Amino acid sequence: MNDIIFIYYSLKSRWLNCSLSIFLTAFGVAIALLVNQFEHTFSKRLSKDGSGIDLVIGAKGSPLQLILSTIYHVDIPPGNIPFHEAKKIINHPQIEYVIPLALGDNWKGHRIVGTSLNYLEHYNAKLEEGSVWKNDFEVVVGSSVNLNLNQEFEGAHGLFEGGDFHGDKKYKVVGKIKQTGSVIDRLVITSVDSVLSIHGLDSLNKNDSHLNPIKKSDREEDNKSHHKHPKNKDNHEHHQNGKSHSKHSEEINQHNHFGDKKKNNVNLEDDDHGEHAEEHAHEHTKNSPEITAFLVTTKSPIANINLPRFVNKETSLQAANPAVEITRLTSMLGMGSKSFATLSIILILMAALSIFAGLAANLENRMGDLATLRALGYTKKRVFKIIIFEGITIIILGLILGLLFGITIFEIINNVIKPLNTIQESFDLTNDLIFIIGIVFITGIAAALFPAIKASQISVANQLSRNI
Amino acid sequence: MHFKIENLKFKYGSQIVFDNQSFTINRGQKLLIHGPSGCGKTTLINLMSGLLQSQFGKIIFESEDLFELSENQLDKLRAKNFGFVFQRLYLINYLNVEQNIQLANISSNSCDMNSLIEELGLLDKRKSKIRELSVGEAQRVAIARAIVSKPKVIFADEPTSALDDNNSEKVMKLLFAQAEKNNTTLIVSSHDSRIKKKFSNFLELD
Repeated sequence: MNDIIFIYYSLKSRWLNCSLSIFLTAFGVAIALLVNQFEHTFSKRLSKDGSGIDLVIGAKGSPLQLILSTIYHVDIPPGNIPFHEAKKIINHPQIEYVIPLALGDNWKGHRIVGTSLNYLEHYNAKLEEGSVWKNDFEVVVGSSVNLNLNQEFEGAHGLFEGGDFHGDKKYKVVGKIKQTGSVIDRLVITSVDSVLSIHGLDSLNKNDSHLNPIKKSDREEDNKSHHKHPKNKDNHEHHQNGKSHSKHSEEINQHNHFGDKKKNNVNLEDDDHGEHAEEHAHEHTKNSPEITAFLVTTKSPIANINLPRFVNKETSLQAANPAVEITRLTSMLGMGSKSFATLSIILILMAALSIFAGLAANLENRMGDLATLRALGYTKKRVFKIIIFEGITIIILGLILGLLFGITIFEIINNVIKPLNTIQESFDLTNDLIFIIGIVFITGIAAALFPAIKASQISVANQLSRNI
Repeated sequence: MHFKIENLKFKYGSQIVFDNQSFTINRGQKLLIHGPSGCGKTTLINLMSGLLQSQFGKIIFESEDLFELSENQLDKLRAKNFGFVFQRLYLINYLNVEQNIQLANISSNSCDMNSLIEELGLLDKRKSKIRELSVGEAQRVAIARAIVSKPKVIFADEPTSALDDNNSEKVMKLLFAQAEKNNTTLIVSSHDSRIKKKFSNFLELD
């Protein structure tokens, strides 16, 4: 008789016991898989989204909050910073380039980010259709944002879905970005001035070279396009509609984002840098432009240490180091994932024990059967293999079921939980996961080893003479 | 000469089960090992079939000294040459009749399993589980498993001990018929005097 058929009927005769072992293995594997996949996804996204950003300069508050809100767009920023304050720093000799960010609104949960074109370049964004913005209130959208080219829409107050709409001004989609696998896939991106304008703030100085110290050629093009912006007109309109923002102002101010400001028409183009700017600090009143933060790339690693010291000590701003904060975050989350990892290890060990208990306990009842096989000419080795393969069958079924459970749950969570849905992560067979599968497999074999040895060393004559 | 037993002695601890046994068995011979319970009948069958080893004496089967063979060699020898009908039958409950018979080493020389099942009146029971069989049917399945591989020797340990006269008669007829058919040596251990008259060769143990 074929040993596989024999193993099948043997396991079938103990289906309840075997099912318990299979499900315990499956749960352990599924949890291990989920922990592994989410850790992998998390670290992949953290490194990709934060790549090339050495510092974030923003309002004082929680540095982690600043990093999460401005790089990863998952938290609320600690506040805004007056642009004239930021200008004091962005010309610092240790800074390679900066990318401004102005947050405050969303469209159906997708954040509307006012920034420069360098933001797109930083994430290697390529246009799928359309073009980049040339005027205020023109936007390009990430691949996960369900907006069509030329579609107009109103931004809603706040960074999460559910706020009131800016009824007075509509954005227009002029470009769609190809999927990048980074944070910008889920963002609506426009000029800083668009965001400032809609919140009743003066626009930035279009000729201000501090904004784009990266690649001068790009900056010049960018500035040219900025020159074409009907900025003053927009601002004027905004002033006229200033009252419509009162409600929004209250709401947004609670969140420390852009609130409507009383117009003062301070022209930043007239502002000088450095000391001159300081002298005029008193002129920067409520309608002066504010941004949420600057993403900073420094010229050297030493600047990542020196610059935050300078900013945190000498200015009213805060400089946060993403590497430091993310290490802190992952160490905190690591405790959680370690708990799950421990749980999965416990489940896998329980599964191994149940395989051991199932085979070992059943062995007593099967001694007669196994002795019969030996008497009929089955070798010790063959009996050993039968028992080992029974254990392996259980562990393989548990592994397959666990992987199916894990992948299904991972896909469900990915599709149901919006932040994961928008990043469109898929199952990835990592080395860690292959290691886990290997460990589970070896554990299963180890659990079957003792019963297999015991079964193969059975004393046939004694066993067959028992109870006669 | 099929079997040659020379000065065979066996003891459990200090208790001698039998001593100085010497006899020969020819191919196709039918031998009854007779004696009361506990006299060592099963032990002798276990020794002759290579399931037990003794430090005293020799058992030669077709020029092979069983006590000189390794465990692996004994396993192969058993699979190729011996069929067993155990006292407690030892049929595997989670397999059906056909699968239990197939546990024996069925080679290309083996008799057709289907015709054997039919001959033993088990045709309508071939897919039945062991627990669904009567004692007589289960006994026939055990015999079928013992003879399906056309062994040179059939060892039957107390094959009739749990059977009534009628069934006892049937089982012995069946074993004899199958042994005759294939010129198989039949070695039966029993304390049952009812079957004694069927054998011309006895080994009396006490």
